Amino acid sequence: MHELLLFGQVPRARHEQVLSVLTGVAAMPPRRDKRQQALLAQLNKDLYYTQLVQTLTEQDFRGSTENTQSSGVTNGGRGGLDGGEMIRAQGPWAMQFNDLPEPGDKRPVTLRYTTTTDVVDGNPHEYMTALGYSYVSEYVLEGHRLLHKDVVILLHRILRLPPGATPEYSPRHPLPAFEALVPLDPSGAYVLQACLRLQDGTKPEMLRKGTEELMGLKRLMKGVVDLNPANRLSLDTRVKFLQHKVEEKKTAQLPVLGGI
Amino acid sequence: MNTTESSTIQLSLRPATTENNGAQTLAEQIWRINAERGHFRNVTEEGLRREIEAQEAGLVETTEGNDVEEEDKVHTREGLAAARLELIRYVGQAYQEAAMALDFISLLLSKDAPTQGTQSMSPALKSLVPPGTIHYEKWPPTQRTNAELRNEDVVTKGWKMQSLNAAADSLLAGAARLEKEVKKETKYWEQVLSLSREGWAIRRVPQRKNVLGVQFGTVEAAPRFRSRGFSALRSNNEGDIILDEELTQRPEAIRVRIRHYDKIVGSSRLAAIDTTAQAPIEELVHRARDTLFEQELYQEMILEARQLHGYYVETRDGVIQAPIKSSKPSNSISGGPNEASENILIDKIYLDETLDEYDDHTQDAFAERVVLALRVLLAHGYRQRLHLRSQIPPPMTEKERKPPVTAILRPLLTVLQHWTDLGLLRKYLETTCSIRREAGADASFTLRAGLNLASAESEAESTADAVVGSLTGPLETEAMLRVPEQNFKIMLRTQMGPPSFGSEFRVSVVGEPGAARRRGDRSFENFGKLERFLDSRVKGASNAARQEAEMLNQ
Repeated sequence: MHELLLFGQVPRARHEQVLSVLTGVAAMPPRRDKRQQALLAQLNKDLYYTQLVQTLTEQDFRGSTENTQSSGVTNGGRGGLDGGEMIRAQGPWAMQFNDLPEPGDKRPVTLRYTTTTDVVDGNPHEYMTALGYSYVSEYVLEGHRLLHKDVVILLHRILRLPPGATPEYSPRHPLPAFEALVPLDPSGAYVLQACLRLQDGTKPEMLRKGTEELMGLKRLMKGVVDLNPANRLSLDTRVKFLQHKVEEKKTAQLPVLGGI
Repeated sequence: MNTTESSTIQLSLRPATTENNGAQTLAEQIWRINAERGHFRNVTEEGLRREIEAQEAGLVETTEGNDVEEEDKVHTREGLAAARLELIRYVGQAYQEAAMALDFISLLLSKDAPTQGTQSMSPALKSLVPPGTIHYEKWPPTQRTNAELRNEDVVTKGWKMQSLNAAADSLLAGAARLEKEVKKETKYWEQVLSLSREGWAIRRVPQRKNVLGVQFGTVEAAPRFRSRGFSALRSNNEGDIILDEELTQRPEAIRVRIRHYDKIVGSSRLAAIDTTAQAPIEELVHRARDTLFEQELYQEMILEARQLHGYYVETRDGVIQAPIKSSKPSNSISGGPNEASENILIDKIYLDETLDEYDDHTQDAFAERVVLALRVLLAHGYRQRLHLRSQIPPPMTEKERKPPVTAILRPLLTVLQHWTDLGLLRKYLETTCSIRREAGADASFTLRAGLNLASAESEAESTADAVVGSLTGPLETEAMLRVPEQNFKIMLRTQMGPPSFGSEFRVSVVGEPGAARRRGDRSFENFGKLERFLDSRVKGASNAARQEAEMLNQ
């Protein structure tokens, strides 16, 4: 599967306005979207980062449980999977891999190969660890999602765990209170990402069709948000240098692997 | 001389004729020399040399002696040149005036003495004015009387008054126009506001500034109806809103009729509208909304009806016919509309049409319920479309994704079929039990209808969505027939689609570890077969029981 992407920047002060405009353009209420994304890299190999992505609800943040008691149904029915301190089972994870965008200066949109595998059951982190991956870092993506025809519009920002809260070996659960998370961009600016997914991005006809649709959105949003392809190297997912991490890991005791 | 010129600004602003000698043409120079020194005959080389020497000597003297004197001298020279130029200008002017006077006199003369007159005329005048076109006459000077003077005074006053009146009139006209404009705008905005107050979405027409429009159709409508759900609100000279075609079209509505053989026994109620008087704009928008909705409903049903030929749904002359009851009481529908004793007729009619009267109104309420259900199902279809649109679409492929056909007739058929079969089942169970009880044997039954309706509760959807949504799926009813020997559990499941394509009865025998378990569940596609099976089983069971009792008695 391939993705066609366009990016735009929205300052914090204009966030509400842009969201209203998008609501009108998409003719649907925006859907709140929160995701925890853990970054993993394979040890001993100079390869690519892979992400574990989980959709979050308010209940996933510690300290927000008191306020959200009244919201009723949680998927607590699947609790007790791992026992112990995990009171509530985590939402479904997905393994996501994004390739380095395809080269080509003339292309008006960013094109990259991507693959997402939904994890139906089990502990994805243990599985990844058994495959030789190791945890690098994690962040929370917070924003709103809308759809305009086939284009998925994500108005979001990246939040980092508060300093000192980053775990060593595995994605953190439960997460700290939502308010404690630190925006990656200190100004609190949002990123507008317009994404169109193609079954096969190698077919020129499909590529043309997808690009046209995305450019249509760009024209529609002209004067509101400037949508542009991203710099190729800024979306680089290759592992650059992990030697120190490898050595560190060798001395530390590896977590117990799942029975895979 | 140059040095002195540059020392004062006044000199540098003098006419250029004295400065740029080099730029002058030969003719000009000759003319100048002639003007300065007379004829060339008098100008000799010696004389000039002497003059230059004397000048140089004089200049040196003056520059060495007194600056002021030199300046005065320059002034005098320049003054002379200026005076000369002025003189030339005056002479030129006088010449001009004289020439004009001459021209005038000549022109005047040319009327009486053409030859003399034209001779002294300048060529420019000749080209401009034809000769002899001006004439003079001598009139005795008139002495104006007092009366005349008074008259003149009156006329002057009259003119003034008239002008003042005209000014006042135009001001008044302006005021009246403004007032009219204000009234017009007020009227227009009042209408727009009343629309807005009623909850209609008013917005600007895209690409056209200063024009407002009202959105009365839903954005979830099919593309060809979506664009029609918006109408511009322009005002005419009186401030009334000019009605777009969309707002003034004849109101239409879906009509559902119930036909029993050839007789109409019920019809849905239609909104009464008054077409004689001009309706207010709110009413028109309301009508347009309703009409658009009904048109789309009809369109969707026509589309869906094409897929439902297998269920004997037919479209003839714009009327959709769907069978409800078969003429054979014990069987489910199998023969199509001609064999069916009762049909639902759905068509679209104009509301201002006069309709045929019919006598029997027994099924009016039923028809009303049907038409209501159709509308609710389309509204549900809209919500489903929004739901579908809000989901992340699958990756784009070469195949175009077609929007699914909105289920409107199918759920209706499902409910009607289920209902019919349920009626038959209930009647059979009641009859069987009462007969057995009369015969002295024990029998009872329970019936739980609409099993899946109660269970369809989703987190994401609202209750209304869940209830209507469950209608679009299969319907299930569970019945339990208890005779002392055996318990029959009958599941009635209706789905207008795979796997059953209609109703299905599934019978299982519970509570008896005998023959039934070996045979497993039995399934029947219509009620007739179920009836025969149950009859034989119940009879068989009671026969067996009777034999057993007889044997015991013996």
